[in-house]
Amino acid sequence: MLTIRSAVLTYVALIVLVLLTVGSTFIPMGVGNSLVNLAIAVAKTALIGAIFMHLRKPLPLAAMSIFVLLFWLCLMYGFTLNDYATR
Amino acid sequence: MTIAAELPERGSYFAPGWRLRDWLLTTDHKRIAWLYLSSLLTFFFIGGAAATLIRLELFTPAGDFMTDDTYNRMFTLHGVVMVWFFLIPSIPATLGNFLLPLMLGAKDLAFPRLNLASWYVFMLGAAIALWAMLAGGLDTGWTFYTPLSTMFTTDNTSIAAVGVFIIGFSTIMTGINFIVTTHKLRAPGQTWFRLPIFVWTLYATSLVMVLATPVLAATLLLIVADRVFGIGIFDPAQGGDPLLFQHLFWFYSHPAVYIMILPGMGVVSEILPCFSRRPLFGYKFVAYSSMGIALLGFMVWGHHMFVSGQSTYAGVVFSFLSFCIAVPSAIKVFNWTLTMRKGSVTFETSMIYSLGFLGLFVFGGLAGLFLAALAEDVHLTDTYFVIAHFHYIMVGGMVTAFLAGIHFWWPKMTGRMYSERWGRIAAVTSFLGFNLTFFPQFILGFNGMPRRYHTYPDEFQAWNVLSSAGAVVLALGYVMPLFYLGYSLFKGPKAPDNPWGATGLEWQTSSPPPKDNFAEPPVVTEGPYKYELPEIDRPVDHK
Amino acid sequence: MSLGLEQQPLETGLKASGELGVFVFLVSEGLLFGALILGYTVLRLSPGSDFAGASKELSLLLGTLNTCVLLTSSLAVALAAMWADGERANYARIAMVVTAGLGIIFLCIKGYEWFDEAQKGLLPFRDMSDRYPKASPQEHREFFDAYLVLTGTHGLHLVTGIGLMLGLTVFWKRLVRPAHTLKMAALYWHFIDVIWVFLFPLLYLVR
Repeated sequence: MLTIRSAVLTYVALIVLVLLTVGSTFIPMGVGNSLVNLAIAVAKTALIGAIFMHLRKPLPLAAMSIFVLLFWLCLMYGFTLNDYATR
Repeated sequence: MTIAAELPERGSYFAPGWRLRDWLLTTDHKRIAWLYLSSLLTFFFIGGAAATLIRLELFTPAGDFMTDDTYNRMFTLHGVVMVWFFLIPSIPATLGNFLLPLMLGAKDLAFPRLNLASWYVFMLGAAIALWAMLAGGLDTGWTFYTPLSTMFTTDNTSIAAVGVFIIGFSTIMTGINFIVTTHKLRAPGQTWFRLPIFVWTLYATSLVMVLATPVLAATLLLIVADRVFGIGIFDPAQGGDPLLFQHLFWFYSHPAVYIMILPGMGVVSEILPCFSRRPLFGYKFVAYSSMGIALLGFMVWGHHMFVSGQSTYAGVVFSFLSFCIAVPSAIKVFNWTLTMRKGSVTFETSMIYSLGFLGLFVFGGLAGLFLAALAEDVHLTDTYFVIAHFHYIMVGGMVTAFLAGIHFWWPKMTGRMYSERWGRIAAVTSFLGFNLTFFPQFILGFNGMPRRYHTYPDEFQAWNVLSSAGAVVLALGYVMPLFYLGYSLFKGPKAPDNPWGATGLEWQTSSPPPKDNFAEPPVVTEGPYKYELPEIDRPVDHK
Repeated sequence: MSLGLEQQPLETGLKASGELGVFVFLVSEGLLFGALILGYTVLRLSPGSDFAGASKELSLLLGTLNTCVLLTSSLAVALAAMWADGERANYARIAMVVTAGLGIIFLCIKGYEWFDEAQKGLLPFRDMSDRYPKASPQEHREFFDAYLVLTGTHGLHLVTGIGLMLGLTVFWKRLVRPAHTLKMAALYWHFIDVIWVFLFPLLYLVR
């Protein structure tokens, strides 16, 4: 059940993550920067999805559709980049 | 839309009215199916007209009937119209729209207004694309390859791309509607493994529609962005890659061919058991293999790009997976064949079409294996072998299945019986005409005649003449149903609820059904395909 | 999805249908953006592209600001969805207007960014090279190609979302199930936010 408290807390967490990700840009880590940014983006998505989009206790079908999306993105990226990586 | 000569029966879905607004503002899935059917038939004959002109031109080796540019526009028109305006929506939007709620025991689809909107979106996109092609033309082929489409055409490419983009939305809307309907609106007792295979294939098709079409949208968007804004994602001079277009395009377009064929497989899965009086053999295998085709279909697109500059390693992977995808199709073919074993087979029109499907689909599918082999494909790609292969599947398979379905469910949809004699004549005519048209093309392709050329060396003429002659017979076979089916609307005998003695919820209601499909919501207590022949005495247990 | 012999519920419910429909739609949208981001990825991995250099041309400040604006709008629409049932419906309508307003602010900032980048000759406009010189240096073109496509498509989706919010606010009284419709629209809004959550590091933080 989404309460005002949980919504605001989530929001604060999201802003903190934004500041974190921007801040980490100024620490040169090579590839690590991209990984950190990606990880933070995933975390923010998880928060938005779980709290705002009610996916913490989801309809099974809604959860399955997210899984399908992720799996299909893997197919698209995997097979395409497979070509580019091996040229 | 034809008006029945006598008042439609009270209680049929035709009863609420025949004014224009009763059709154009309807949310009844059955009427929307008719809206789609009339537009799709129109587009089929437009695409067919283009094909006629192509075959006319190919009658002689020289390019005497059309200029090069005109010929390019002609096969582009044929491809775009046939693929996007006819094949992709064909069975789902007509038979699927009509039958899905009936087969589930529901009153309508989950989102009836979305359904009507999908037809309007479809018509808008088709109008735009058709206008673009007829007024100045599109000559890139239906495949829009870059850099031709982004850098070198000076005609209506962008507008045509926008039109197809819009049609894509219609597809996605239909897909969403079918998926949600199948999950949420089944009648009590209608569990997944009691569903007819037609529903399974519509579901698999809808998944592919939702997952593949957005990528087409992205691809067309990038083409238009390139032409209008100069965004060079496919332009090597800007560091882009023309091959990226092909990856994105075929990521959609290969699954698109499964959008086209899966519903046809579903139709045939309904008809073969009925006219063999045997249950479908291996129901679960057929259901699972439909889902398997939908999944594997997304992993093989690189087989359209073997000679394009794709890495050889990627080619090997795609080739292997393309061989794999033959397996679920083969499973279905074996199951269909075994369905007829020890059956009491009769040859109604839809059965003749279905048997034709079986043979022609197998033939075309086997040809696909030639193309899946990397080395062989180097020889065969972009030849008439490819054209023959996909026409065997699309026309010999899909159009045949479409006609099979139209005939099978015609009594249900219209409440009239058509002339079986003329139906059988048309079915056999189209079968013979089809083979005469397209079998020579296998030979032509193998001997090296390239596709999309309107001039060719003299030694190819004999086969081309045969093919063009076949096209005449095929056209005859396709035009015939217009006459006897149209005639049946006025003068055909009234159809009983279940003229074929088939199983399935749609046959438990009147022909035609009332507006809300069933007098009372049905309750399902047993599985599908409960056909029994007393002389065999083989009780089959389906969950 | 039940695969067994259980009875199906007689009334499967409109709410459940609507929500599943929206999620299936979001899957299709996810693939649309996924395809565009794949284009970005291929460009970024191509030799000779200088994404790090080009990304520096973007205004990190405005990008961060926009991200915060959009996240705030997500909070607003989440609150609106919460208040939608029952007597606090008017709060919900105010929250929807706030959501739309924040969306418009996002678009204004974005528009300003585009204008500024065009002035600097960074955006690859084909037929406007008299007013906006083509992107230079050449290696930055790929980045800005991807940037324009991604932010443009995202912006179009945002316009749709804003339209939904405003439409809901204005026609609230005339809807059959306004709270339910708002919840569906909120899902769409959150999704647009999620897309930006990915676009932001991909475009602004490649340094």
